[in-house]
Amino acid sequence: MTLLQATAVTVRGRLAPVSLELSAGALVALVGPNGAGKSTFLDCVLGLVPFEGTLTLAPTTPLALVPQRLEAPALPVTVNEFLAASRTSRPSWLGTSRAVQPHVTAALDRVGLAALKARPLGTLSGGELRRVLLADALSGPPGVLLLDEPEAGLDAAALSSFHEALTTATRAGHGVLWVSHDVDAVQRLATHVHRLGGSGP
Amino acid sequence: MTELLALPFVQRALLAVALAAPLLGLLSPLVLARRLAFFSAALGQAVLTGVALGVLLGEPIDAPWASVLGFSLTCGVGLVFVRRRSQLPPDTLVGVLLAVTLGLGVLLLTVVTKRFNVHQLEAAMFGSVLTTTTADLVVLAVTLALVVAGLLRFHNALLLDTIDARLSASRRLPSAHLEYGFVVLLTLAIVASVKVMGALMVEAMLLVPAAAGRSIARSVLGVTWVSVGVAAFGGVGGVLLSTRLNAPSGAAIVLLLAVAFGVLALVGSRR
Repeated sequence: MTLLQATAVTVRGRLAPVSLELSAGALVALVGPNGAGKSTFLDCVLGLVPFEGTLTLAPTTPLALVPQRLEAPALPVTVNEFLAASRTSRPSWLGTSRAVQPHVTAALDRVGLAALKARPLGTLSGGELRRVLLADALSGPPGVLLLDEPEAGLDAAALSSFHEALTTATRAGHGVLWVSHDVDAVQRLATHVHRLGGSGP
Repeated sequence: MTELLALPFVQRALLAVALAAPLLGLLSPLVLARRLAFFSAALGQAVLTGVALGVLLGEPIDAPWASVLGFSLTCGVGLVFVRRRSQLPPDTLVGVLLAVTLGLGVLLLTVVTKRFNVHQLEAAMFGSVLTTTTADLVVLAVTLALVVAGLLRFHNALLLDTIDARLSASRRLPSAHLEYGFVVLLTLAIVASVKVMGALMVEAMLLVPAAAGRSIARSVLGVTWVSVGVAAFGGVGGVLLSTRLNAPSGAAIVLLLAVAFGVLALVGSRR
């Protein structure tokens, strides 16, 4: 099943035409040097940048993003509060309900981060934060998962855990679009590699 | 003290702060999270200009609700409208609004003070909780109900929307609607609290409680309830202090909020 279809998506002066197809269970990598417009393409998918071309994303397909970094929130939003807030409108200041807590715990267990649930997001390392965001995406129904250079700054152990989580994601039916400047980082897991300005194997 | 508490106007004042404390204390963490501190100050200033406008338009000086609400909402919603379309930094735009409302306010107040004693305007500027009327209490109670209802439904979306614009887009959060909605709630809360805090002091009740909570709490839940507690401490203590000293309630409340912030910041720095 095709989750995302891009045909000649371009942003004048920022992104050369990109055409790609992302199916459920696939991991497609978009590789290019810094400044090639990789993040701009993600912004097009997110609806943040006007573009030319065609981009089809089913309106009900869940969309999740794992950015390279986040600015520390002004409030100490804990990992538990963040994941709970994604699942329920019950305000954080009323605490997490008994119905939602098992889902939050299971999501963190899936990426091996249960011990971090009381930590504010702003105190997490880059790798921990990306795995929390991945846990958030994986706990929902399968959809499109956008990764913006998620390998940056990860040590070997963190990268291995991240790869495991991604494999879990694709097996569960998520379609993963991984944007990177490093073709070696994506080659092991990618089912297809697109180079900006051309298509690879 | 018992005699003081038996006085009907003191009881009404305490009821007013009992409503204003959760109203502003609950909003305070989101003001912090959405970085609206300067914006809140500008809205307080707009309220004062709205009072002057209302008096000129024939509304009573102690309850010019239509003008205050109309002018403040226009300023708040208008600023969000411009901010979402401008390349200028948000604090620059708020500064422009502040300057415009201040200039207009001074001009209108000059005219108004020719008709009224300037002391009658002090209540709007610095708060006069001891003159709280039943109508003021009704306005506060209705506003509190609206804000609580809004936050019960949208607090988490407002919170998630502050973390990162791209994350917010990936969750398909209606950022524009959330921003406009929050500014409307914030404006209602500021307008309703002017009798308690005063237009020039109300920003303190929106900033200091969450700042105090942020000093010691390590979760949104913790920050929010410390914020409500600090607002309640400042509010109740400020009423009693202003009654004793015959001073403007807003000033007394700000003083106690500052004390609470100082103590909690000290405690937080030692943990």
